[in-house]
Amino acid sequence: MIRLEDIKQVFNPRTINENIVLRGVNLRINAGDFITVIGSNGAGKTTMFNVLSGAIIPTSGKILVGDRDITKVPEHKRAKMIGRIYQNPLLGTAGNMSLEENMVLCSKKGFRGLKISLNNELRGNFAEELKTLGMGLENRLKDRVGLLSGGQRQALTLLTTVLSRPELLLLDEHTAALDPGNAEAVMTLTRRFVEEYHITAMMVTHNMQQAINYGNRLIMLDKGRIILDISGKEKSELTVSALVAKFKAIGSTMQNNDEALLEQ
Amino acid sequence: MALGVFITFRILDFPDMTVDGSFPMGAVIVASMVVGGFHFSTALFVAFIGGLLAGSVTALIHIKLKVHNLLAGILTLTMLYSINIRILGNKSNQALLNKDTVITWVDGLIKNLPHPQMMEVLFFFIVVMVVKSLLDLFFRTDMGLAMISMGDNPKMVTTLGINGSVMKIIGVSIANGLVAVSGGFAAMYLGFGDINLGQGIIVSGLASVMIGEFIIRKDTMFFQTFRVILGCTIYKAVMYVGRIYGEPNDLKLWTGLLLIACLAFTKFPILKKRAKA
Ligand SMILES: Nc1ncnc2c1ncn2[C@@H]1O[C@H](COP(=O)(O)OP(=O)(O)O)[C@@H](O)[C@H]1O
Ligand SMILES: [Mg+2]
Repeated sequence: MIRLEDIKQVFNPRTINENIVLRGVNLRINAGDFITVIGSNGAGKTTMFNVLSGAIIPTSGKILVGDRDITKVPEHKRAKMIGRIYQNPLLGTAGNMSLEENMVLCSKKGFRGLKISLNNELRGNFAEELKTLGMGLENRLKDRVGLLSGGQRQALTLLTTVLSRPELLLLDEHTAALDPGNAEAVMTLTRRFVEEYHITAMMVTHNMQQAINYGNRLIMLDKGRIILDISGKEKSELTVSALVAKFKAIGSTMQNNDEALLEQ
Repeated sequence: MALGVFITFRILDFPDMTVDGSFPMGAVIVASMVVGGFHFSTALFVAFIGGLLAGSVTALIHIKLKVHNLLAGILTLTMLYSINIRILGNKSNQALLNKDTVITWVDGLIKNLPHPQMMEVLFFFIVVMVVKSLLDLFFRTDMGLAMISMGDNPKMVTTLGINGSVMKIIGVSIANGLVAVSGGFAAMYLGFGDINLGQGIIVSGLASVMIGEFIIRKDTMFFQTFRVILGCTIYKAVMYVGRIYGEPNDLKLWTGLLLIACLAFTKFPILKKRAKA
C-alpha cells in the first residue's frame, strides 16, 4: 500500500511566479488498485506523478510505501518500485539501440557491472515476451527501436516496464500521442497486462469514457486537490454525462479542448 | 585519443574540453617518470590514473556545481596547465633522450630490422586494436549498454534505476584515462613531453570522429569504434600532406574548414542543436 499524506507542492515560492500546484493531496493506493485519474489541464496530475516517482521532492507532506517513508528517496532508487510511462513514446526507450539491447537494459534495475549483457537464452526469452504484444516484434530483435512506430515503441515500453514488476505503475496519458488505432492497441495491452500481472496502476487520461471503462477506481483532481474518489459499484455505474456534470459543478476550470474531449 | 573523444561526444553526449589538458598530462607524467627511472609501463598506468582523475574532476564540477559541461572542461583544462608544469618540475618540457621507452623496447624486440619504423607502426596498430576491442567489449556489458542509453535518452537512465551522475563520472573518467595514455605514448614517440602537446586535441579528436562517420555509415559498435580509428588515420594523413605541401601556419585554418565541411554533411546533434533552435 502506498500513501500520499498532505502533499503540497509550490513552484517558485515567494516570487511573483509563485504557483501552488498541489494543495494537500491525500491518497491511499491499495495493492491491486487500477486508478484512473482525470482533471483539467494544470490540475496537478503530472505533478502528483512527479512526486510519486521522485522526479520532484514535494514542498511538504509525506509519501509512504507500507511503513517506509520514501519522500526524499531519489528518483533512480525508486525506479525499482515505481514504473512510469510518459506521453512521449520516445522517452521510454533508447532509439539508437536495438530492441534486444533495450530489453536487456530494462530487465535489470539499479547499478550494473561488467557482465556481458546479451546471450542467446535471453534473446529467446525476449522473443517469447515480444510475441505477447502480437505486433511481430519478435522477429525484429536486432532492429533499432527508432525504426518502430510510436505505438510499437509505447507497447515495448509497457512490456519492459511490466516485466520489471513495479509495485506501482504510473501511466501519464500514455496513448495521447498515438494515432487512434495504435492508442486502442496500447490501451488493450495496458488492461491485459494490469490484469495478468496483478499490477497496481494509476492512469491519467483525458478521455472520460476510458476513465470510466478502465480500472476499479477513479479520482478527479482540481486545482491541486482530489475532489472525487469513487470506486466499486459507484464507479461501475458511472456515466460520461454524470462525470461531465461533476466537472461543471466544480465551476468550469475546464478549457475548451477539455469540453471537446468530454463529448467523446 | 580519438576513441576517448568518441566516448564523451558520441556515447555520453558530453562535449569534454578536458582532453586538451589530459593529453599533455599523460605526456608529462610519462616523460618525468621515465626520466625519474620508472618503467614506461608503470608510467603509462599512472598516466591513465591521472586521466581518470582529471575526467572525474570535470564531471564533478559539472554535476555538483551544475556548471555547463563545456565550461567545466575548460576549468579543469586551465587548472591542468599549472599542474602539468608542476609535474615536470616547473619546466614546460622534458626530453626523453637515451631513455628506455616503449619505442626503444619495440625496436629492440627484433634486432637488425631493415625498417624499424615498420615495427613501431605495427606495434601502435596492435595497441589501438586492443583498446578498440576492449571498448567494443565494454559496450556490450551491462554498464556499457547503460552508458550508451544515457547518451541516447537521458531520461531512461533514471528509469533503469541508475544514478546518471555516477555513470557520467565513470564515462568521462575512462575517456580521459584513454586520452592521457595516448598522451604518454605520444611523448615517448616524439621523444619529449611538453605541456603544449594538447593544443587542439579536442578538435583533431572531433575531426577523426566526424571523418569516420562521414565514410562509414554503419552504426554497430564494431564499426563505430572502427571508423573513429579510420577517421583518425585519414585526418593524420591529411595533416601530414598539408604540412609537407602547404604552409604549416595554415593547418589550423584547414582543420577548421574540414570540421565545418564534416559538420555540414554529418548529423552531429549536440554540436548543431543550437543552430537549429
Ligand atoms: N517544474 C515546474 N516548475 C514550475 N511550474 C511547474 C513545474 N511543473 C509543473 N508546473 C506547473 O504546475 C501546474 C500543473 O501542472 P501539471 O501537474 O503538469 O498539470 P496536469 O498534468 O494536471 O495538466 C502548471 O501550472 C504548470 O505550469
Ligand atoms: Mg499532465
